[in-house]
Amino acid sequence: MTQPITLSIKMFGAFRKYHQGVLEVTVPSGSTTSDVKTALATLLRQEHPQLNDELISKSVLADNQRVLGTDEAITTPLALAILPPVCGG
Amino acid sequence: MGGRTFLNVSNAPLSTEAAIAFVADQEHGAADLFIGTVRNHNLGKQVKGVSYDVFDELTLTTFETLAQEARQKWGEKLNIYIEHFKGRLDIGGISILIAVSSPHRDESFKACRFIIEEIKHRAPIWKQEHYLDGDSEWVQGHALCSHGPVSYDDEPETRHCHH
Repeated sequence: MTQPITLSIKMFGAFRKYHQGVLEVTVPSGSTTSDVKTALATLLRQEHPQLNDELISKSVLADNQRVLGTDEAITTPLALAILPPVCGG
Repeated sequence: MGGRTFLNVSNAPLSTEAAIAFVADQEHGAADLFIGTVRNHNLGKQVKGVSYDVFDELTLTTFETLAQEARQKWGEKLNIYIEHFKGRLDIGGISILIAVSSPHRDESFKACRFIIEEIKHRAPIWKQEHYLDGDSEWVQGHALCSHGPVSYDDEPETRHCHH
């Protein structure tokens, strides 16, 4: 049986409308980043059913050093961030 | 010997004098400075201020990567200063400073332009506009990608990233 792992996901940009700070998301070990985003969206929609599909689909997960690939499998508890489309500068 | 690098995310107002002083070099004949400022309008709406949200650690990693890429393209001698503001700014406030110096002017112009264009597409930084009517809105941006940088010549190209 696949063990669940808990990821701490920090909110940035437009996600701050739905949750401030860090949200813990529990997924089966080996879940892809796509799976994690889906789980995150489900959790956020409990309080905010209006959460935009487009925001989730265009956002990426990252750690402090890099953006994670779409199909990258996650097997350990991690501190991550959810990053919407960017507009700095 | 390679050039000097200063990379920062700041909660305090940015200083053009500091940027220019950092890149100044007796062996360089040119320096280019880009100043990004908050303007009072966007997409037909009147803006009274902007707040910048920044993922500090990944932004600094991104700045470091861009400095390396700039030196790979335009020479190891470049001095590079990149600083982005984090927090709320009024109209006219400075959001970003990029200064580059080089022995000759062509490299400074090109490296400076490259860095700002890449930051807009690659740095984990977000902008929330505050309007005169009291509303605030997070600005639409460019989706980040896990793939490597797109090639860049003199003019920015249209970038595509498929998720």
